[in-house]
Amino acid sequence: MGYNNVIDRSLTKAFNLLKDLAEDMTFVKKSVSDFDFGSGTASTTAQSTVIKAVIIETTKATSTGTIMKQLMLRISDVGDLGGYVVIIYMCENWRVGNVIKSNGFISVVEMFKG
Amino acid sequence: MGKYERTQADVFSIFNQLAWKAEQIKTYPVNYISVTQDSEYIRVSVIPSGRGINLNSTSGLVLIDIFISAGNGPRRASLIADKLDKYLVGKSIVTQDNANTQFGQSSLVTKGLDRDNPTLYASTYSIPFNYFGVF
Repeated sequence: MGYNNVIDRSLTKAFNLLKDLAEDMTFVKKSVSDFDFGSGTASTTAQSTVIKAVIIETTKATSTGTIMKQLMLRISDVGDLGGYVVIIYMCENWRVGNVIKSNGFISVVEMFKG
Repeated sequence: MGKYERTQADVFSIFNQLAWKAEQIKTYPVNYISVTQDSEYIRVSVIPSGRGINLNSTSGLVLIDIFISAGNGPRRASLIADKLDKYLVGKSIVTQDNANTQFGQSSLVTKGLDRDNPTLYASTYSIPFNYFGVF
């Protein structure tokens, strides 16, 4: 078994040990996309994936009330984060922000609401 | 439709023409995230930051970032800029309510490798416009 598999299995085990700290979140991706210059709108079809992610930090901007959460997730669950635009968490839509860290196995991503 | 939305719609209408689509140059507006990994595309920004001749008018710049593959020289960017000239320079768009968007002379600035994606070489094409709204 290669090192990649060993690390991936260890991460799966670690996420299982986290139990309810690793929560279900639905990542919504723009799967097919084009921009219509006639209507001025983007035409997209959404594709969603439910994955486990751990919230590691929450901050709230005092001036605007915008809430930011940092999530830790396994890259093998989502692949390239580029096309993801929305995360549905606790029945609320959050916007996907920047990828803070990514080491090939784990990513730390920001999501925003408000 | 207000002057800013009208201006943007007029500029976008150029890129909605069949003739422009036939040029086969991927065209996106600013603040749009493409899911495809294009090795050549343009990104259109409409900046109505200038004054108009009346309260319903405005003026400004259309900035078009041209991205081409890095490492193949600048010629392709110039060709795309020339194609843009064909659709924009000296053109005038009159809408149903007799409002009018007029484009002036263009310019092209090369910027070098794209900071976010160094496999792309970036240039910026710009052209001023005047939008004449009616009361």
